[in-house]
Amino acid sequence: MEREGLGIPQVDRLLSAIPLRSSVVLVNDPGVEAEPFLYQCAHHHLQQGRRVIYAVFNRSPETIVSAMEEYGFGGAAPKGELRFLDAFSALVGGGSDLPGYTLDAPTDLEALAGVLEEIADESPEAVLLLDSLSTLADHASLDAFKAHLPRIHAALKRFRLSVALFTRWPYGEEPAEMLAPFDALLTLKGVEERVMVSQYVRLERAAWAAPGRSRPLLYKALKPGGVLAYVPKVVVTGAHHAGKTTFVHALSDTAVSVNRLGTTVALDHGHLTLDGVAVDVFGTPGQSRFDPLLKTITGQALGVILVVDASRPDTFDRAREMMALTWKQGLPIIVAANKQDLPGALAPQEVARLLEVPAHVQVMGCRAQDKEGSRHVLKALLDQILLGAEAQ
Amino acid sequence: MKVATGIRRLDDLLEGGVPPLSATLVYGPPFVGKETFARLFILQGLRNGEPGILVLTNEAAADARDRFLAMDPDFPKYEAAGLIRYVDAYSKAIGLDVDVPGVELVDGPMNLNGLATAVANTQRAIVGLGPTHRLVVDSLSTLITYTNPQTTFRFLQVLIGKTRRAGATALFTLDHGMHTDAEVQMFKHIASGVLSVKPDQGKYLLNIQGIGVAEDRGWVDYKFSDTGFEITGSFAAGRIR
Repeated sequence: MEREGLGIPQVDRLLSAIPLRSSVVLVNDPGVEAEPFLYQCAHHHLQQGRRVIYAVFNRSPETIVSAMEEYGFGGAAPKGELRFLDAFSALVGGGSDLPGYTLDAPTDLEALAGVLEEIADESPEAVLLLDSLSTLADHASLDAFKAHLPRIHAALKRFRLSVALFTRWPYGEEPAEMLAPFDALLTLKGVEERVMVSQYVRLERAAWAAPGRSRPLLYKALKPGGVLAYVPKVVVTGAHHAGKTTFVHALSDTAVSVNRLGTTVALDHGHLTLDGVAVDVFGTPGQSRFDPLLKTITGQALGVILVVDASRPDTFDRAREMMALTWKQGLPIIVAANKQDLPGALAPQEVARLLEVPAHVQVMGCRAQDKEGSRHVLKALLDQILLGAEAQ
Repeated sequence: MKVATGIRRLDDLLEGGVPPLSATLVYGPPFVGKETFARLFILQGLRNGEPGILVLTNEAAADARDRFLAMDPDFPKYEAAGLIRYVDAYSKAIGLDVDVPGVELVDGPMNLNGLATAVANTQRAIVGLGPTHRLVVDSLSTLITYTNPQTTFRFLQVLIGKTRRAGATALFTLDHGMHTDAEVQMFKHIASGVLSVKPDQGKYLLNIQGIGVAEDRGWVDYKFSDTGFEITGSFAAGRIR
């Protein structure tokens, strides 16, 4: 059966494959970035050669094009075609030169439903993006919105895929109930301390998936770069000279270390993007005199990579100590059996046996200098972190 | 500890300034000094090392910056320290290029989630500079004009909650003559108090309701220019004469 996605790799993992003619709604808290999900979805489907209809109600089609370029989604789409349903220009007395349709009375939801039906008749294989349902409710009234939603939603279901935004302003009613007709609902929320420090997306329900909500998936919206899942802390630890700094630098796009005489005395920090995931990696010092720092460096880590020198079993006691200091049960962990290129290096199975790691802990051979090999280890850890995020 | 407005005799009248984390509505017709007052409020914070965010819905950040430069010769220092930030929902909508430090652009005043996101991003950028900051929205009237009073009210409800949590003391300007009495009452209701300004027979008058001051002390004369705002009416022992 043919399936669809939003074109945002880790969010598509949350959603699984979307059956054709499905409607997806993203409900965001005010101040949480939601629009980039639509920009990236538009870009993805344009690259697939599809027609994308972008219905916009609160800004001009030109600003959508400009925003897509800022997020890195400009440029030609060889076969795709971006059209707008412009429900903004008539409100401000302007007009758009971009191709598409114009709604002369944007507050008339009856007329909107009619236009959507006409477009669906004309382009049933198009992807429809609607930005946003809450603006419709603001323009018309919440009661009018609720009264017309069944017809609007029925029109959305006639497209190949439809994705709509809804900002959770204090309407006094729960959006999840209002938006019950949609086949899938994701929420986008902020993690707030004094200010919003990060954002996450969570699948609340999908008609094609098992009931229940997913765990939250942190994300960033980068200009350029678009929506990336975000893993803010992976800790790389291990005994002195196990190859932690080499490992962090090899796998990262950018990295810095605080060294003295070739030894890490504070931490290594690296940043990289891998398979749609932005990751910050923190390497710990390995000498015991720095152990008091470990709690600070490893706090709130989402996963641990324990690097061991597979050619030096005499360092395994210290590796076990480092593991005890940085890892607790339930936290994803991978053991990287480093220096596989050296004579006498132990095979991963032997390292696992001598380290006496729990049976579920994966031990992978690697050479820390090798970017691909190091990233292979990190990818295995990210799978644990993100598959955990998909657990029901 | 109250938050000084930077207008000495107004601070006397306000018994030290506006309450911390309050949200004051500055209400009056166009061209009576609301914008000058709001910018002086930000400047007073900058002089004390307190960051300020100016949310603009009907003026470009570049013009606001020019006004700040005219108001205070030390403004470049505050700018260099990253203390002043703008959320500009005007320039992009009319196609202006923007070359101002510390600006977050929003593609128009109808994009309220874009506006809320830009404020959140700006607050995240300054949170390390101190425990408190000042925030001015100039003006609510543009938002109401582009959306409607109920939509703007919901936006303001969220914004006030979030900015309080972030440590902001806020001012919002609202134009007299553009909205019905019921709409104005709605916005007064959500504010901690109202500073009303009006012209009267060649003079300008100011009145305070709420803002931590228990009594309504009637109307008091003031004068203003592009760069200054001064109370000229006399009062003693905390009361207007």
